[in-house]
Amino acid sequence: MNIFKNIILHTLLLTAIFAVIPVMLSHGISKEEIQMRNHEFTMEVLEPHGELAFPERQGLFAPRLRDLNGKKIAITSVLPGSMAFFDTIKSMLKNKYPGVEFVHYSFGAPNSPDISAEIANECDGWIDGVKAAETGSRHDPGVRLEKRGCPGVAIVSDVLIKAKRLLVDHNGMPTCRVLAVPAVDYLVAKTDPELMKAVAEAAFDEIHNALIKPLTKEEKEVEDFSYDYSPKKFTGADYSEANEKFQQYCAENFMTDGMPVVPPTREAVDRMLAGTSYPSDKEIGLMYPKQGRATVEKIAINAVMAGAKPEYLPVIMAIIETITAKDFNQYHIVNEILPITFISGPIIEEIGLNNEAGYLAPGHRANATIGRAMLMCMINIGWRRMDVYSSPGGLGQPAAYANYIIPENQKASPWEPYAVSTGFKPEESSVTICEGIYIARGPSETLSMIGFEERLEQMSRMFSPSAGLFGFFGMPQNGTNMRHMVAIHPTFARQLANAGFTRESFIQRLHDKNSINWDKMNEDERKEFRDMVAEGKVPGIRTEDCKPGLYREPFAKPSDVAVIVAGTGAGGVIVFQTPVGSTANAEDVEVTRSYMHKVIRGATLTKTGR
Amino acid sequence: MSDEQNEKNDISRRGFLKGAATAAVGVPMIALPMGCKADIEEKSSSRNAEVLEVLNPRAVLHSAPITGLSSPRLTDLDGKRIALLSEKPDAVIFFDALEELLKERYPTLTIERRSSLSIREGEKYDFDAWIQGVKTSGSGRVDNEARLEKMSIPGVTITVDDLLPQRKRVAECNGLPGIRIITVPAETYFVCESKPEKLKPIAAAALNDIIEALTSPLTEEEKNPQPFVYDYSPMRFDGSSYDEAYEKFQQYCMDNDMGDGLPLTPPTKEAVNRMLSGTSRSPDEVLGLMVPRNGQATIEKVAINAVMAGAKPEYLPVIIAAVEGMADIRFNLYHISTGTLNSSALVLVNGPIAKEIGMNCRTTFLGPGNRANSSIGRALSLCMINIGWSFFKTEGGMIGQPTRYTHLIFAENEAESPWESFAVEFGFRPEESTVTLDECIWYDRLGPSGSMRPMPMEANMAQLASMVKGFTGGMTPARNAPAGPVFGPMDAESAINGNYCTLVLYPALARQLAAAGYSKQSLARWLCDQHRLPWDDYSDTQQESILKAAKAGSIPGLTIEDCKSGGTIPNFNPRHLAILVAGPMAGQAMGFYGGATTRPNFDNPGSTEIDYMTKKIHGATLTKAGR
Repeated sequence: MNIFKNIILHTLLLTAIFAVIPVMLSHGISKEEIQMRNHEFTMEVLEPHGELAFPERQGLFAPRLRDLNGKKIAITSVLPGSMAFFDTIKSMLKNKYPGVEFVHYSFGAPNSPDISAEIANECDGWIDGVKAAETGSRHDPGVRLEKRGCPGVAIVSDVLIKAKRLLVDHNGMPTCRVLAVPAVDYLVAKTDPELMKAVAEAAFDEIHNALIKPLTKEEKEVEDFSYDYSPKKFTGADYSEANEKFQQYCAENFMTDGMPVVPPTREAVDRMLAGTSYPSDKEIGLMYPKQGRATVEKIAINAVMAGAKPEYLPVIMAIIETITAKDFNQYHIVNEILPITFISGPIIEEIGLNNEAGYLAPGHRANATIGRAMLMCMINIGWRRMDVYSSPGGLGQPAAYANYIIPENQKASPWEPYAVSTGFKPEESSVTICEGIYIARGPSETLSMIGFEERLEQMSRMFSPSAGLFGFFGMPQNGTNMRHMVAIHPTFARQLANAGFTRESFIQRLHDKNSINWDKMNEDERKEFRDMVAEGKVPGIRTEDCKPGLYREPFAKPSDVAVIVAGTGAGGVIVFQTPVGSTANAEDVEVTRSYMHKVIRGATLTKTGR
Repeated sequence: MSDEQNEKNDISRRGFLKGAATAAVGVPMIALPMGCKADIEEKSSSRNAEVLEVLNPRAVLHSAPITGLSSPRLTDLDGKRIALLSEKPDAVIFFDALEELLKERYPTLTIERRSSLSIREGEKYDFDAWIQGVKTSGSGRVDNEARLEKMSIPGVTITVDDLLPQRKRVAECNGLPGIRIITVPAETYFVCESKPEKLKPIAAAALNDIIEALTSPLTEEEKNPQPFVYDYSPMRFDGSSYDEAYEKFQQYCMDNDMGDGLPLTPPTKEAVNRMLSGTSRSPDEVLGLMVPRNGQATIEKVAINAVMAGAKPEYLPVIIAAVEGMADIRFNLYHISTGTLNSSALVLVNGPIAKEIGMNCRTTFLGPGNRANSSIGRALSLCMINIGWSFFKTEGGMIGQPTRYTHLIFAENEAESPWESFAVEFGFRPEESTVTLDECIWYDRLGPSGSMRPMPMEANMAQLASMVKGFTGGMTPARNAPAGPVFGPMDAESAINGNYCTLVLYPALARQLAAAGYSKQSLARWLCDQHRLPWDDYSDTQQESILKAAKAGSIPGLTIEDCKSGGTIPNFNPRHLAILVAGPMAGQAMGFYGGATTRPNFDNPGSTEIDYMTKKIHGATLTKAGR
């Protein structure tokens, strides 16, 4: 009896499996769910990485020098501080090869003209170094020289070795010879010539070998950059296990900022793409450091990961369009992540950006995810390694998760919208981006309700010769490169307007109150100024500078200061300052501008921004 | 003002009537799950086949029980005595105008003028009613409103409208959501610049509402506000795909203030169980209560929030220790959670666990990119939101701080430091792992730099000294200062011992200093010595208080001999000038300016003084350290 029962049961079961499942499928139950019922869940996500515009890579080809006698070696040093290091290296090389000659060059600031042709003509080899600071050009001097057939070696401090190896790779020659000196020794030795001698001596053999050792097969034969851009699958016992595998994959492969990302499945990305009328394969620009193609779809994938909603996509696209625009110094922002973004126009209300109390605080999806999408695009489309690229001093930027997104509070502003003041129409919405290295906060209303005159004084002092970066570098003689982005709270804006100030006249006042112009000072003012200089209160100016012709300015012209009204009545003022603005005289900027603005376009889910 | 604006003002001024109702139900209203349970009941033929069920991250509240207002309002103001409690100098002038107007209307009324700080627990007052104001900044924990109503003295608070949500929250936290509040528009109040002719019209506009607030009888809701009710059960979200269900979960968290605006990992039962495997401690263990609303932090609730933050199970013991610190009554979490500065917590991890779980203490140690740093910091932020019940919409500060997503969290670079770690300096063993908490009011990253501009040692030290001087904390000499509001403690012992600063040096600089013979302690003492201020610059009251502290010996480096003309007074206690080592070998030094989080003050009356809040990490199961 039991055996029959078992056979019948088994038959029924088999029938169920073979009959019911097709029935289930035909009723539109997903494969995912069937797998789930079989205790397995698979998640398939699209690839957020940008495809490289220039995946070609080449190996070293210039033969190394075997004998340095009779050869001219270029020393391309980064900073004058490397001189002491190279003095020792040069004398030790001269000991070995009495006939060697050295010529000094400097590649200069990141946007200086490229002198590698001249060097390659004149010299037989080169030593570049010692790079100890994080900032610099996106081009590599060594790669430029090797491409012209001139062999050499680059020296960096060991904290920068990963960054340097990435840099030579981005520039197409991953096997360039790079050496490290221990930062701990090198930096201390910079102020002590005797110590520097020891550091150089310790590095000598490696440098020498790098100059003469013949190229290996691995150094000569290099494959082009390749990567599998197809969708990736993650499987687990349930959704949460599959998701965890995906999160851990992202963390291990440098695809995230450390926080959870939303899985960019095909469905999620399609939903995101519904926010724009632009075709998904349209290329917006190239993102550094690896020059990945930012297509509309790639931006959408990263926007999904950031947690954004489809109606935010046009804003995110305008942001990427701005930083990848011609004549915008994108690399510096990517290297140090300090973009400040102003948003102006009717789209703010439509998508629910917070422009009132706590506009820089967490808690608002639009503000948070739009800022994060910018970072995700840098990380994935540009291939920006968060563990390598830092900010000055290697500290990292704690605000980078959501960046500084500042939406204008037009309702509370006495002036015309910032977008209109920069030439857009009232129905248009714009984004404006510039880097902001130093951030200063003025006192807020909640702490002290002071009078308008005093508030204006305090505001003015934020642009004084000892404030912010001026306190560090001194105020410049020619402020053409300075940029200041200023967010003021509605109370102060209203007080300014009541006192008859326009945006422009207010900015002009900041200039006039803080510029130093010896020729326009009377005797009393000159004496007072000389006293302050003597007390060391004016950074960058010494007593001997106090004579006719002395001139300093916080910025060159009013349009170089961007003023937006944001926040709430009880708020305060913030000033973001940079010595070289993203559209100033910097790398990749041929035509300078005050600021880069882009209009928000292609929106489908909002009335504005279409 | 437009009609729209008038209406807006009217509504907010009459807020005191609606306040009771809204405040009492405000919290439970946002707690009702948005129709998800109903959806499940729906047609099974629907394509909503995927269900995401998550545990509830919110903690059980142990705040003061909700009670109603009981003392009757005044029937009229004739012959009554009303106390005007002013907060700041602008309020004094506002009340001058209000006093005039009230006396005009009620000639037999008497007015008593006092500072709002003069009201004390346990004292008796003989005025019949009070008007407190004008609130223009974040408030302390216990407020006069609750005190006075409980003494059966009716009254009303005046606040700028920007701060109404905070006032309501304080009222709820003190158990009296019915407290009557009147608003004045911030946009006009703040441009008055404390000038009488400008404040008078505002007082005149508010007069009728103030009188009504003092005299109109209590409503039913004010007398019997709804008790706090919240549904702590798991939440379910459905969709035709997991994506859709997941998006509903995200949006729900956004709409109900359960997150920070960025994506959250769904805390399913499985995920929470996986997280709990990181600790040997029981999920029911109670760690303490978190302000502002006294939510009960259990290990399970911490685990739920840790999952949402994206943390891994091996990070859980670190997060637990940090929450223990935050819930400790000696730690002033209140100011971090609710201050209008929106300051961040400073979270320092010491000991071997940091390396084991992969925390970053080198290049870009403060920035994004490291799962451990990011998710541990974020877990603390979510615990403050969901266990402490502090919402960014109310407590996001006036401008806010983007560092609040993860606070400022890092591990000391103990491997490359020449000195003992912070934890060892404060008595822990090197094999122990700890978390130390502080508040970071602001930070200065323009310290001496190894990579950018190396300087001789003396120049580095001078720059460190000027960073320390740059913080205007401690006791600011007031002899020649203009009269005005003075914030912070008035007595020398609190001001100077409560002046906290943390310097973070990059390893190469630390090694230079160590080679020159400095220890952390001697460097701190040297820095304090650079910032001594002249005795002669202090006011008489301040000098009295300094002399008292000198006699009691309560400030290191201050002796009675310093307390005379020509002498100098320290502005820091070297024990509260913490020196840490972090960052890449060639980094940049920076300074964090702290908030005296472990000293008793009006936000933290129950505290006893301790130097720092440090908790040992224990109960770890997935790492060798922290067991």
